[in-house]
Amino acid sequence: MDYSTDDELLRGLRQPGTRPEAFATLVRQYQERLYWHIRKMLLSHDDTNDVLQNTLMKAWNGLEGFRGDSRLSTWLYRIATNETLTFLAQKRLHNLQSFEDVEDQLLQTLRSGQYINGNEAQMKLQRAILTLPEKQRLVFNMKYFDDLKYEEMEAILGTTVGALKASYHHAVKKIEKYLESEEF
Amino acid sequence: MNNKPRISLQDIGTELPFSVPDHYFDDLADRMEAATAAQRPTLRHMMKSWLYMAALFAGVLLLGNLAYLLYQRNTSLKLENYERYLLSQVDEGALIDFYYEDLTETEQ
Repeated sequence: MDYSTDDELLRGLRQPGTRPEAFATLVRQYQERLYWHIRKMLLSHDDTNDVLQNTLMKAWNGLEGFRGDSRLSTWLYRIATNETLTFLAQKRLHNLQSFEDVEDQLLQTLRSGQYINGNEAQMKLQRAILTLPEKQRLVFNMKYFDDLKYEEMEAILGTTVGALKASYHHAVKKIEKYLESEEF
Repeated sequence: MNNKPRISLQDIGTELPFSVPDHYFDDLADRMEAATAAQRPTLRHMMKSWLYMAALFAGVLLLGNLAYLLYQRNTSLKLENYERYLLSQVDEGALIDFYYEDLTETEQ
């Protein structure tokens, strides 16, 4: 079957007979976008892999409940975002006993993690992003790296366009300040 | 005077300093297919749910039947009690007279 458009893909996902095939197409179409969306927040490849698999399994199990009120990509991004934030919250809860900060762990991943291999400027930008609060980090990543429209971000994050614009503006200011303050 | 070289967001660009293992995305798609295949309902599962439904239906039918029988029994008991009550209120002599009169009328 041809699943070149979201409508065709949705039709395939709704029919129990074609669902597995359509879902395989969905995974191949969206896996990279979702992976990078999660990876930018978690930095570690292994953590991203776990969260991405959870995201896709949640999508598979929730297919019958998806009525097509939002775009397929919006729905998938929303699941991925929730799974990522839940993962970070669980990590934070777990770290309460060890008094270790999640952001410190992320910095550690950035310094010595596997599959991290950028130049010094790119690493500095990542360190700057880590100084932002979690939600602002999400907004900055979605706008700066993915260039998502504010309206699409609104549908995914449930935050108004005005608030998103303000959040992104403040994030850019903070990052620029960080970049200026540290010697390159 | 500040001699630190300045770097801006524009200079850095949007490239990420991350990579993924070789063939990661091909492998992931295959793994997801296997994982979802394991979750698909098998014929045994479907039969199981049909059996549950059939058992539930039989149970409801049985309970309904039982309730109906009890209701019927209760109704006939009530009727019987009512007849007994009526008979207890009637004078036996008058009843014999009534039947006797009825008999003599038919004989004539």
